[in-house]
Amino acid sequence: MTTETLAPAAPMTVDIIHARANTLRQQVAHAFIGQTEVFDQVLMALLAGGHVLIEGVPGLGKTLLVRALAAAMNCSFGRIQFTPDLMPTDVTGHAIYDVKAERFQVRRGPVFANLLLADEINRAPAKTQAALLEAMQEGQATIEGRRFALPAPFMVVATQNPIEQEGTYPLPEAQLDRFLIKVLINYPSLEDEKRMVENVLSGKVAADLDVSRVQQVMTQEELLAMQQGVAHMHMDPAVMDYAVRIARATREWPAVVGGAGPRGGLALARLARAHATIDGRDFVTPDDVRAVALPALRHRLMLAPEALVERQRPDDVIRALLHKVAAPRQ
Amino acid sequence: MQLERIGVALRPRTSQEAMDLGMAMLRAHARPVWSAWLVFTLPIFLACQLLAWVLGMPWLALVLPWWLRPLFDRIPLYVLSRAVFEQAPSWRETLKAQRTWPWGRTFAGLTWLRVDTNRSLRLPMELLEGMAAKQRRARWRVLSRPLVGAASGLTWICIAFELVISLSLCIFAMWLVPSEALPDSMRSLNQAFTIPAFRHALLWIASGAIYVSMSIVEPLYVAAGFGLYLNRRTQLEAWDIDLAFRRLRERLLEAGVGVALLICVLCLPSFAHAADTRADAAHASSQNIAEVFHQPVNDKDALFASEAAYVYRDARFGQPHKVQRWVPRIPTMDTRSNAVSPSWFGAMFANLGAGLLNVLLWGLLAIVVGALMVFALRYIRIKKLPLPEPGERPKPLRSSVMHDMPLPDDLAAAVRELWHGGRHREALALLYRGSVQRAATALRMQPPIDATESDWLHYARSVEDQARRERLIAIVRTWQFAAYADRYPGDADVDALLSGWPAQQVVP
Repeated sequence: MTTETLAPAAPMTVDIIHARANTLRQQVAHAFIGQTEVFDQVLMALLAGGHVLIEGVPGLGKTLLVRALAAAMNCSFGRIQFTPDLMPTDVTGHAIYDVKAERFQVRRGPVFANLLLADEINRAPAKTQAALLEAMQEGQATIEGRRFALPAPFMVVATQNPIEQEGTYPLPEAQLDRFLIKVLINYPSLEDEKRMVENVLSGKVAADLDVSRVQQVMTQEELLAMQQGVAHMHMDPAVMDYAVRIARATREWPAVVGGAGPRGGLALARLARAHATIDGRDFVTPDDVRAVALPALRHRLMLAPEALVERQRPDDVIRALLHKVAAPRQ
Repeated sequence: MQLERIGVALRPRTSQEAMDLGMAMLRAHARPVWSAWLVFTLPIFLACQLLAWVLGMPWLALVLPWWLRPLFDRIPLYVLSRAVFEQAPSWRETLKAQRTWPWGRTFAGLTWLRVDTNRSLRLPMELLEGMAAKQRRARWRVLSRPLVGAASGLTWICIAFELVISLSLCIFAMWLVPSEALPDSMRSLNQAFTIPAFRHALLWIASGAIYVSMSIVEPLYVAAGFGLYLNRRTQLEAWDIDLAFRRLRERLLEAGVGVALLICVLCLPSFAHAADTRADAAHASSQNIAEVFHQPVNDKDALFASEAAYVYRDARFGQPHKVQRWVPRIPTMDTRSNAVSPSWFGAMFANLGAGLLNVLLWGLLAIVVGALMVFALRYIRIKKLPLPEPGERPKPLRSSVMHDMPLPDDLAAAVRELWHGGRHREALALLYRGSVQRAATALRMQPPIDATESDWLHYARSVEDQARRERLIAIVRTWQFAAYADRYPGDADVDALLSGWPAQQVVP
């Protein structure tokens, strides 16, 4: 296997991570205006080393967010527009015969990037989705039978539209489970939208994807160190128990036919640590778990038809469920 | 009865032929039927749509026109029943006549008889014959006995036709929508149903489609039922024979009074009646259709009606009889030997197949009912689940886990004992639990099972006394740091936390 990952970085302290995260937020805000909740959730996933699924109508700045993040962290950026005729090799890469050198050469696909935007992932057939999901899960891509490690850090930000269109292949629940977090992005507020228009019209010809004002504020190595810092954060067993009980409660809830698996509890714990870090704390509280429950679990629940008839959404169920799970008190 | 004026060829027919006869009558009088239908039903349909829109209940636009069908059925029946014997009435005459046509049975059709599958057959009997309730029931038993299957079958076939036409129209309407505006998959179609505007538009389209299909099929349904009714009366009252005799009598009368008298004396017992024919013929054209259907209009018919009513009252006539006799359940040897025929093998298999099919269908019904009950139970269970409104905290099922762990009477002493015994975490946990319990009591609230430290910090803001409020906040914060960050306070800090409410029970 070809290895291109960086050497493991020494964990960064919470204070430094907190400060760096704030700097990153400020830089990205030059391009990606408003939507602070969306950015915080993506940042949590980044710090927790997970992948993000964003659901929202087109044109809300998803690509801009990822490009701005890449620019601020000096990371390589890749983008794949998923279409029904997209092949796995279009994602991972392929081998072509070099006539001069008289041998096959591997041409790597867009998946070999630190930050990968997989746009409208549900438009591609299952085989192509599987190629990306292998990369997400195992951090590697297979080209012509050879395995290639992906660069670290590696994060996939996949998007899907809430109102699906013709020729879509919805992600199976097992594959949705691979995403650490599902972010719902909505239209910006009036003030943010006005700022966006002012920003774009300030002497610019092109009207989109301008990240020139975003300055690099950290390196890839520093990002890895931040991730290490979050991964080493202390988490009390009572809080861990609380996260697991919430994940398990989704399986016993009457309105849910398929609850969160063990990955759900893990996601809660990882995201809770990232949440505490962003909050500037070096310890995790049950409030952190509760704060990340919606984005961590909403894509892992399959509601019963009766609940869908009642127009319940996964978020409603998770909120109701949180009120029934006892908070730790000893 | 002016059967000689009837416009159809009377003869006993099978049910299918009778329904065909009704259809043929409708084809012959299509214009008056459908013109009156549209003039009568379209305003009502539009009113229903308006009502549904005003009330904000679009489903009414579908339900109301369906519910009012027995009312609409009066129109084709009126036109056909008149068209059988004389000129078909115009739509003006039809509408005008609705004021005087009996309404009582239409009310019944709109209420407790609304889902009667024999409506097409019951309708002509009730509207055209106009009998008293008791006679009507007896009449219905006689009239419907061999026709219930045909009438029900007609209903279901018409429902199927209507569904096909309605769905076709809906699909046609969807074809007219630009493909960009259409949902792309069943899932997105389901999601589109959650959009009120889409749902309403679909309801209006469906409502229009159902009205069009109803306007096509419903007159056919009524006409077929009327055909069944005419045929049954022909069978029961031998209208065809009656008509043949009447025509014979007319021919004979034309041949000569003398010959007619001779033949009447020799052959016909109804001599007197025949003698009055010319007089009757004078006002025959003035007789209306009610006469044809048993409603007396002149003195003689009234006399006949009263006589008939007298006969009906007689216990020996028209009353149901119950006859009891013993019949052996096991056939005799002779019967058995007769029953054995070369086709016994086939008959046995036929019986076996019928029995199996019977069991299968009952089993299927049981499964469907069971599945519906399971679905209903699950639905009720989910329906009962409380979903919190945004910003609202639902009442917990259990008040608190703290009920499982009773607090000591002297909380401060118990905490102090644990603390000095080196069990710091337990001491602070007890202090936290006791404090929030007392805070909840002071705030007159049930301590929520899911309340975390941030919730208690939020509730603490409602404590009026500043010193108490700050102490409660300090206890929660201290517990938070101790429990989740392993950072414990010093002895002096603990003493400060235990120095007053909530650790100390203070009389307010």
